[in-house]
Amino acid sequence: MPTIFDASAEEQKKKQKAVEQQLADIQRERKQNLKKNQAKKTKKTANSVPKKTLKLTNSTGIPQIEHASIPTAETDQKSEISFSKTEKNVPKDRPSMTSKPTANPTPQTTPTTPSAKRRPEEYSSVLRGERPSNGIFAAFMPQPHGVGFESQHEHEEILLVLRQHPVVNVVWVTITIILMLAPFLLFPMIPLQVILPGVYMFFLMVAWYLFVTAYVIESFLGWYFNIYIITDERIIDIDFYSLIYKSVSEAKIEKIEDVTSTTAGFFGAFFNYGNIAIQTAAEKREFEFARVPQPAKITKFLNELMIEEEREKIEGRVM
Amino acid sequence: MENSPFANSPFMTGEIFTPDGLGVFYRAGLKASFLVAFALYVVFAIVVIRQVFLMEHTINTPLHFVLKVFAIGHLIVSLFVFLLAFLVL
Repeated sequence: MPTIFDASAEEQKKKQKAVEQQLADIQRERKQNLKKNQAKKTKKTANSVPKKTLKLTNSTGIPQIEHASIPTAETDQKSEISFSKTEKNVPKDRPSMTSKPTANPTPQTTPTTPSAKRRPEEYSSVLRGERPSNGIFAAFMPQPHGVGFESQHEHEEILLVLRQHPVVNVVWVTITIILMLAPFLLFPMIPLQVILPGVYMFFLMVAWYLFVTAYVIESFLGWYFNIYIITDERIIDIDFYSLIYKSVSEAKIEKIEDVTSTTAGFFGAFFNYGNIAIQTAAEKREFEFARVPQPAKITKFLNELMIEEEREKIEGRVM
Repeated sequence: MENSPFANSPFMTGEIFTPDGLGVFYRAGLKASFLVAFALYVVFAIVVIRQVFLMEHTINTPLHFVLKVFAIGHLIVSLFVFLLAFLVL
């Protein structure tokens, strides 16, 4: 899978120029808007008339609006209407009359200030095509519900949580089935009853099945807690090698240098899973997402994140 | 070989390996082995609980409540088996 770093220097320059051009357009627009607003304000102050005082009463005779400044014909619709009112009879759920009317409200998703962050759906085609995941045992979980991690920042959003493909569990499940059937297949062949009394035979069976349970627990937890997290700021690799050894490593998105995905083997090709190697400039040089589903999609998503990170830098939206 | 003073001993005749022929030391050794194995399993169950709670601290998933209940139940079962072996064997 080619990455943005594979592109030639010229292409990168072109991309950068395009982004810069866009930035310049936005800034020019803002300046024009600012000039317009200033012009309107000066016009408004020139044409301002003394406020007329009205006393309005409702059917019960309770004064509702004490003062209202009536706009003149010259003032446009956007001009502010100031109400000094008694809020007693106004239901709480009704929007306050003192709130400023917005002529053209902008959606929250669009960045209005340089520090605003864009929603991941805006820049990621991968997330746009995926539904937020509710699956407990899922291996590919875009924007999962109820998942958080220890070092998560306040405004950090988990975009993708990955585990090894469920098909890798087939090996230990098969071994478990064989181990569970073994006493019925092997014990009749071994004359254990000759050397062990009946009660010892019973406890031998109990010990055997406890051993099988331990194997199942170890294998399941090893799969379940081996998690890769991609947030809007970094990638986190939580490895759970055994019950007494775990490692958590992380790298910022901006530190990612290269992403390589590999799909190998019959099962890998058939079930669409593979390894993703991520080269970083962080302390841990290489991250490996082992046997994760849809490696091509994940690589594409990482590339989108990297582009967005660069764009944030250029536009000065870095938090 | 037939003239050996140990020729008729349970070790030589193989009676030691029959349930009736199990000596006191052999039985004690067997019981100790089972108890040690079950005690180790109790330790393993405690490690599982510790690990599940630790992992919950590291990463929160919707399955954590179920895992906690399972880990605690697993420890109770392993303790029960240990006590049963201690009393019965």
